Amino acid sequence: MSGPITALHLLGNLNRRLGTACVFIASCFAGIMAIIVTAGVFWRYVLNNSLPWVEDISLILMVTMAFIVAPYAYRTGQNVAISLLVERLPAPFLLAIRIVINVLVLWIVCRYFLESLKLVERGWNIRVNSVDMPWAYPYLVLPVVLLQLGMVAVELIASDTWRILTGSGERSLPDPKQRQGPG
Amino acid sequence: MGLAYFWIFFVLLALGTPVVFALLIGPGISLVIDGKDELFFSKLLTTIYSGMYSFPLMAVPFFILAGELMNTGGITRSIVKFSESMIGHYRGGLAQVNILSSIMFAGLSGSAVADTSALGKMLIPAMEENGYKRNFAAAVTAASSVIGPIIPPSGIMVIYAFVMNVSVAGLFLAGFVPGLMVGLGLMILTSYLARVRNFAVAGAKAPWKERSFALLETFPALMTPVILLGGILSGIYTPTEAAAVAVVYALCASVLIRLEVWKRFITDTQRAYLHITPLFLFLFMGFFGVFDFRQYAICSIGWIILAETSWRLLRWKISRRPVAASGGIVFRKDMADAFTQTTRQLPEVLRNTAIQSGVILFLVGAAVTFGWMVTVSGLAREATNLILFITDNPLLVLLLINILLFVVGMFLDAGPAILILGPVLAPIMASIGIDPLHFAIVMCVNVTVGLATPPMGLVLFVASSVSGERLESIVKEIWPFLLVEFAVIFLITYFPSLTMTIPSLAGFAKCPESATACQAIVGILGR
Repeated sequence: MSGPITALHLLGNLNRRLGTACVFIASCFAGIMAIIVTAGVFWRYVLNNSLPWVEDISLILMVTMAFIVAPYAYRTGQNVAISLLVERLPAPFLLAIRIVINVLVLWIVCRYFLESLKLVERGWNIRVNSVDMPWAYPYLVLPVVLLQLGMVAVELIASDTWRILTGSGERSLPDPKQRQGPG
Repeated sequence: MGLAYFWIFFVLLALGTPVVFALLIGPGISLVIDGKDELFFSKLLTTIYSGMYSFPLMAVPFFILAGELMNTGGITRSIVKFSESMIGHYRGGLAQVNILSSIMFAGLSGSAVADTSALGKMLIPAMEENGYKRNFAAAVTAASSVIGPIIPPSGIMVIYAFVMNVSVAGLFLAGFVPGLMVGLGLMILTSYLARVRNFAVAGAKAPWKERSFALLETFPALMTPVILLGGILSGIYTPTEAAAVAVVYALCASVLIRLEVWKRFITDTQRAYLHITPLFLFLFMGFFGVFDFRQYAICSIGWIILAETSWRLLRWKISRRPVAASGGIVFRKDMADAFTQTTRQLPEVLRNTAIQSGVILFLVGAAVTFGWMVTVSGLAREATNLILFITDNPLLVLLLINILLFVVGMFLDAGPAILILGPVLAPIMASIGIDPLHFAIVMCVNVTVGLATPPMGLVLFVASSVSGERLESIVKEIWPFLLVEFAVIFLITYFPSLTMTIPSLAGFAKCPESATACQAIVGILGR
């Protein structure tokens, strides 16, 4: 059992670190968006010279920000859900339902991942309106984020499966370092 | 295309699937069942991206950021202090302070959760110390926090306007009256409860000097809605740009209220009003097109020099007191300290903004794909036929839809409720001749009140967490307040003049035929 558990711990750590890094990047994007949109108003209203790239760049930053936060939000349970009905079910049923939901999430993410690769490929031939850049670059966030969402889904499925198999009430997997320690 | 996606979506929702994934999985499974997945999956993916790729939608992260900046900048404290100085001396004064603070806070954040969290932390313990029951204090905080997304700015209204193609500025203006009605209604009810339950009087009546000082302290916060709406209505900037300007303004205000020089400046209230009042008037003149930016800057700087010079000369002549100026504070150090304090909180503020807005925007992207499915599958048309089969009386349809929204609001957050039901319900309303803006405000107010209705009211959870009181206990106390809010929903539904007059006066809408008061007012003032 220790091999798969170690692998899952590594996956969990990787997901946590990637999530933290993505939230940091998204925070920077939020600040940059505010600066460039305000700069756009200043240039247009005060200097009578509008900046044509402001809208496209700020929108690309916003959409990228929204996507890269998604795996972190999924992993930390920050998405809105109605849990009132299933909360009252016995723990094994609840876990089984969660596994089914996460398998469905994994399925949809895989489908979209394949489509996103095609979208990036098509994006090389289309250019962003006001910036000399192919759409493939902004679209690149899609396969990256969908891959990350898939990794989070696998982690959550494995974690819940482990809990069902062992009948453990703990949410996360035991730390392999602790298991290998004295006692 | 079949309607399987709609039922799959509801089953997934009932099973506790996050709404964003239920919105993606439902149409996905439906397409596979119909054998059209190869054809439409790529369309759905591009719709998610293009659904978010909208400049008006960018107002959402900006409003969240501006609210977070204001909140961490200590503005909440000054708002509470001002409310307390104005009405804290009445019976049940602290409960009234809670409601008045929510009204003022609504002009900054546009989020009920932020309102409950910020004001609850400060006022629930204070109310408890003053003899109120903790569950009552939490109930007042939760009930009054729903004013946040009704009075502009409002994240929910931006989302509705984006999804249903309604004017954001029009919706903002339509929100003023219902927001104030909810606030006033809650204050009247609290006043009645204070007499019946013999609530405590928080303190003695504050003298006018203290009130005018408190007003100056909260002045930077009160200016936010003025700058937002003034700029939008005068056409200087779009609602999205206004939100970005609000971010920069919130940052400057956070630095300003931390400055020792500012604190000393407003202590001398007469001098502060001498400076600020004309600047405020100049700003209004700018919004009405009397000044352009350069003239505004010149007039403002000129006035500051003139006012300061004459103040010092006058004071010198009359009292012969030495000029204390800035009280010996080294301005550069003061500025650096205030700036450091603000920037130290900036990473946390940006982090919260990125997470909150990321979650909302991804939901919007997913909801746009769902909306596309609703359109393509003809669900909206079938829903319209079903409702019109039951009744084609607009008043009854409005009643049915209000009941539906109320039930949905009990279980679902305001944003997802708008994103899911907006594309289905708005065409029904259009088909029976209800003005889109009128329905928009009714729906926004209804789902916002849903934030405080049990069993799944989001602000109830926040109030419970902030106060440490059990949810059931808060629910017992919140019902009278919810009844007031339902009464407001009823009034704005059946008396469209209440919401449509201000947008019609500003040229963002036309008075509906049934709104005679609106037509009369616009007829008189519109000339």
